[in-house]
Amino acid sequence: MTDTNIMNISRDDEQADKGRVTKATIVHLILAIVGLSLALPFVWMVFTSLKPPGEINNQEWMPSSLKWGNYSQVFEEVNFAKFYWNSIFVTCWITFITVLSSAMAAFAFSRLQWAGRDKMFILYLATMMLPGLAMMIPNYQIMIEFGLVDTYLGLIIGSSFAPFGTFLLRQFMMTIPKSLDEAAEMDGATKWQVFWNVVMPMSRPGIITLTIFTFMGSYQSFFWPLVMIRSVDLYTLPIGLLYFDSAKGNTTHLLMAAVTMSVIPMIVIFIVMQKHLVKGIQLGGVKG
Amino acid sequence: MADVTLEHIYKIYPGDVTAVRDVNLHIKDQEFVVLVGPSGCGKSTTLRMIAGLEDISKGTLKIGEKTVNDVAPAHRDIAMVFQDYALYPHMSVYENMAFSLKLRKFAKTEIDKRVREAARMLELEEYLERKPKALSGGQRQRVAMGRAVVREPSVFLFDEPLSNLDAKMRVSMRAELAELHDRIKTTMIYVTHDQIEAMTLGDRIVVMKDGLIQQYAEPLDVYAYPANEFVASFIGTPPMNMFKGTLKRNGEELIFDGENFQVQLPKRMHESIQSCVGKAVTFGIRPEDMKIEGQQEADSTQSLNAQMFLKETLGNELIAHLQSAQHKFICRVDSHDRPNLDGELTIYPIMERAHIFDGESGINLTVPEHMKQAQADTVLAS
Ligand SMILES: Nc1ncnc2c1ncn2[C@@H]1O[C@H](COP(=O)(O)OP(=O)(O)OP(=O)(O)O)[C@@H](O)[C@H]1O
Ligand SMILES: [Mg+2]
Repeated sequence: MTDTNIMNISRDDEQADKGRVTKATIVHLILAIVGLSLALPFVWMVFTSLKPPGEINNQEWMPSSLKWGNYSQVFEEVNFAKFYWNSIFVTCWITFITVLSSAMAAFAFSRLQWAGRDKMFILYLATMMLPGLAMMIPNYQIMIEFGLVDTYLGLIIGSSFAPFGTFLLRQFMMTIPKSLDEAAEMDGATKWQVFWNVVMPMSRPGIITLTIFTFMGSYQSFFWPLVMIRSVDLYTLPIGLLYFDSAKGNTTHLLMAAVTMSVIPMIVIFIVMQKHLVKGIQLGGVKG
Repeated sequence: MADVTLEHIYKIYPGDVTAVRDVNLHIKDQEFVVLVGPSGCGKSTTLRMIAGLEDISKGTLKIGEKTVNDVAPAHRDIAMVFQDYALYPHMSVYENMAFSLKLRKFAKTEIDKRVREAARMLELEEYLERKPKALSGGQRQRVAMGRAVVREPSVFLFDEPLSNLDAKMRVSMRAELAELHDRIKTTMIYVTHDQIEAMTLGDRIVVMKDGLIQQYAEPLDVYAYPANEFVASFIGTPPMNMFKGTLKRNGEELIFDGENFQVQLPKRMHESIQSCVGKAVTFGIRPEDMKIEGQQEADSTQSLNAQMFLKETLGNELIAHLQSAQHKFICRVDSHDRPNLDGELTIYPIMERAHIFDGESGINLTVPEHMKQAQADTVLAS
């Protein structure tokens, strides 16, 4: 009686083990399929960028020979280096201003006491509900008023202030104990020093997350630059890529080469920051 | 080095919440004063007003000779140790302690000297490079103290600094705090809800309730001459026994009549309680001042009978919970001879240590005149 019981139990265990193994296998299989299908367009892009012009429209994935010359041709067709520089320059400024202004606003919304603060915050958040395109028209009019159309400054200012960052950092800062501010205040810190020396360093995971989001978002941003830019000298990468649009002839291979080059900074940033990004999202998720 | 004076201090929060009312305190230079009271009685609020972290709604606060109501916390020359320590997590122990000196633009060498000296005093030398995260609770506590010490302020404030530590650590940190005060001889104001901390640390203690000061006196005076029923039952564990009854006259004698518990009150009380004859009063006496016949030397001729219904053994003593008709009370008994407390017991209260409280206001009617005078002097006349 007891013996059979033990046997049964061990058999159950085995079955359970087997069940677990097959389950893990299935999960991994699914993940692999999803991962591959996400990577496919990327692989196709790289392969196409290396195809000789004659092979662009055929069904083969692999180019018959690797034509690295496509890449240098991109630089010959347009001032691609300038586009690159514009993108990086504008994106860096936007990221810097967005993060700094969001952090300062978040500090004001989370740690300073002033009349109507929370109502103001809700009002501020409400602007997030408006679709970006709807805001573009008044924003554009403001830029005309200030004579900032077709300038770096207009490009940068126009996308540097977003409630999302303020919201993210405010939620983050609210988890920092108030007694730290008070301790710093008694230690002799001014409000600015409390912000800069205490609250900012402690918000690091939030700051990093916001930096990555903002960088990626504005690096890819297309519509605002499209509206704002007239002169080729100011073209950012997403706008510059339009040059290789098939409307101007069959240049898909060049387009793909240009796109491949333009995604490189994002990949680098992602690889470098990946650990912080995950941590930041988790922190925001758990505590905020 | 400074006196701290609170004159008619009020704190009224929005919504008409009066957290602190008419607080008058004169804290002498180099004194260690402990604010104690139940949760929500306004201790922290009072301390934070002294720190400058809360506005003072009404009244005058002086540090030294100077009125500081409108002076920013940083310029009051005070340092504060917070309950949660409030260490800067991204700075090392050294940087935590040096932060205030850096902000005040001290020379590097002076900062270094002071930080190392404080670290030596608080036995933190080997942890200077660590982040607070990598320290134990007691070590963090010491860093928080070090951060205050390096500034050499004229007043130290503590808001329940030991409440996050375990019982053992609390006892040893308590001793360290007392030692620190002996060494640096600076005015210290300390908030706690733990009456043992208050008794052991304070030169004088302030007992608060509902935003009002109940008593401000030396610990032993608070214990021996509580100003009212609240103080009597708040200070001391187990608390003072309270018997409800009426005050009666019998010829020359005044009698406390608690029905089955009747005692003649000593002559010294007569003058101050005469006016209450015929009124409800409370008879209060500490558990150690009630002796059980056969167990302890009894020097009183008055007694009451009781039975024990619960016994707590503490090692050095027994806490006997007794009942006599409607009265329930507690006696402390030496446990050394393993006393037998079964059956009917005769209890002798030491009448010289008894108190009579007004039945309505709870005020202690039997505080000796010289004590009343001393207390009136410390709490500024309202
Ligand atoms: N910001 C505030 N707004 C309104 N009421 C407040 C505020 N802060 C404190 N109070 C009230 O003031 C009273 C005193 O609070 P305080 O923090 O001084 O109590 P405490 O004696 O320190 O108690 P504890 O031992 O729990 O720390 C409490 O009743 C509390 O609810
Ligand atoms: Mg408190």
